[in-house]
Amino acid sequence: MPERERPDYGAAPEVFDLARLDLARLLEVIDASDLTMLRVRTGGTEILVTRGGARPPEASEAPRGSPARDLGAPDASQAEPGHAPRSPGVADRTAPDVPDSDLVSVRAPLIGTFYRSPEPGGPPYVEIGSPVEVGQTIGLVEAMKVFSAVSSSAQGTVEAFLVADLDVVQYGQEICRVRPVE
Amino acid sequence: MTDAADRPPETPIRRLLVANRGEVAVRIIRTCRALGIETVLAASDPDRASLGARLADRTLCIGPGPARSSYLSADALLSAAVLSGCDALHPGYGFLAEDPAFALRCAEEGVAFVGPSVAALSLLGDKVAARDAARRSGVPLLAGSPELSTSSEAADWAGDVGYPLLLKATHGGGGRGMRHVESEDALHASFDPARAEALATFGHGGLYLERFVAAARHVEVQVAGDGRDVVHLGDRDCSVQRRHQKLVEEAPAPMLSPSLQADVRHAAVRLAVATGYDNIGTVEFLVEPASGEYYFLEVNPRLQVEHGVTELVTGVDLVALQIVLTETRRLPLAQSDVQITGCAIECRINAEDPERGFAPCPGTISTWALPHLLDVRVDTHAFAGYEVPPFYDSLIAKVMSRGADRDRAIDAMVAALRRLVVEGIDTTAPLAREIVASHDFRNCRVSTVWLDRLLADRPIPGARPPAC
Repeated sequence: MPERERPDYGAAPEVFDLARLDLARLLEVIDASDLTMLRVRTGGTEILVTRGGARPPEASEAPRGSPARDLGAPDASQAEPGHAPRSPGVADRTAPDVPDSDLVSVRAPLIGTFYRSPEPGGPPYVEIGSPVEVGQTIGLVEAMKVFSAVSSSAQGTVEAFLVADLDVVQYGQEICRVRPVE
Repeated sequence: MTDAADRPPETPIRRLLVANRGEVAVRIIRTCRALGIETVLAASDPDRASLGARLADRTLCIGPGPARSSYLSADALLSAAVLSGCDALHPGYGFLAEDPAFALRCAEEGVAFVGPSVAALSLLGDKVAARDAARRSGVPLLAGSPELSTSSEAADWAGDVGYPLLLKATHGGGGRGMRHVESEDALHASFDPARAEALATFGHGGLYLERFVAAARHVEVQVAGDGRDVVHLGDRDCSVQRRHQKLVEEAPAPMLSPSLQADVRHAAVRLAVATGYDNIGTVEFLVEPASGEYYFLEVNPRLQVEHGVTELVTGVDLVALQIVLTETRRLPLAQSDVQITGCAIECRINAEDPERGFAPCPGTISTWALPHLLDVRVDTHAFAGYEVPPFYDSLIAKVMSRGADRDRAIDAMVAALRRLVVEGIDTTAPLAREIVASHDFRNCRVSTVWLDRLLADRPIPGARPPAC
């Protein structure tokens, strides 16, 4: 084969169709606002403006590959972030936050299965409205057949449970909220 | 040797726990998605916002930042695997990837460990035992000690053999727990810190000594086996190291005569066959090209950080190969299927400041621009706005290039690094640029001590105020 010229590694320009969009005007509007991110879609064009290190949200679900085991190596291109299909099941962290700064959160000390009672079918350690002391057990987390107590970090009354009996809890997940005594 | 009929049936993997973080978590997720395997990422608290967490089908927080309570916690990882219904677990590299006790616990919980058998991990994870296996396979070795429990025991052995020596972790890898010692004083001073480092990194504080060869090249052979048959996927050269930490790697290894290259590859295959090796692994050697001598160092029974350069020259997805071997226990390719084309180079980009003695630079990346070039691949978990946590390895990206020959691969790497922009934290990127642009690297005049000597001539670290 004849010797070919070495490839020119000049930066590849990113081409957007901006014909119907005044980018400069758009940036002015954003600048005057307190937006941290703006995504504009027009026709086949999408513009994403972020500032202050804001991250774009997850993009739409990417098609899955065929289940056939292909040993072809990943090609010499970038891994594109942001295609994250999520399966339902375990809630990531918690239910919507209640902005009540008076309440104290009790969190899971480790990943595992949460139990509200010491034995199956037995009465729960505490009910909503129960008084609790600092260090009192409000439930158990089982990981690999080892049970760890979940202890209240405040003295007060149990205001709400955010996970149910037998739910899988992650490390640090909010399990219940206690309203401390004055 | 078992007959094909005796083998357990194939067990397809449907959902896999990624028991690691950083770029390798992203790398594993990428192949799983291509194979149609669901992924559950086990993430520590500070990694819940990581790129891997965004890419995985599901993320479970397994513990707080320190690795001992998260990525090194077998209980937390296995809880996550079992509770999320995973039928397999990929350990990546580092953490528990080479821990036979962990692989055994996975088996007990019915979770397939994507890696070699417990027996192979036990044998090869103990570097002293691995040396014995190499000796029995007729693979050349450097003089080495048995496991040493005290610095005075080490000094006794060293006195008989003479300095310089390398102090190494019996259950180590990746240069951790390793010290170059020139004298008895240095040996005494290094012993306890090396032991502590080995214990912290590998959960085992065993140390041994090995004769130190200056001006050698680090050459390693990628192998894949199914417990019976073994193939190699060529070799890599990883001679550009700073204090035994690889910084630049390439495939195939340059400057080896065809007969030396064949000898090294065959030695690796011979050792893998002799140990009944049953997944992908790397057999490491020191090579003195001038004399044609080569010496076995160790086997890394796992996916290697620098596996990407082998993928670029063979076209084989090594993570997919690991998964297929775990599912079928049968090599899906023969030696004749492995074709090595062209040349590939990798530069590791670490969040460390070369101007301040390679101090770690955790912090938030404000600008992150990757080179989008033909012939360039970047494996990374970083992005603009990503906060590099202080708890883990400092690797934030692997920039890889390929070319029809070594010169073109170097040209592509020079162009790639010129276009890599990282702001907010200091990285090793400027040093990588300097290395690949150097005459010595272009002309293959580097050895495992080349970079340390280059850096030793530099001004005193700390002369420049930190950016992070």
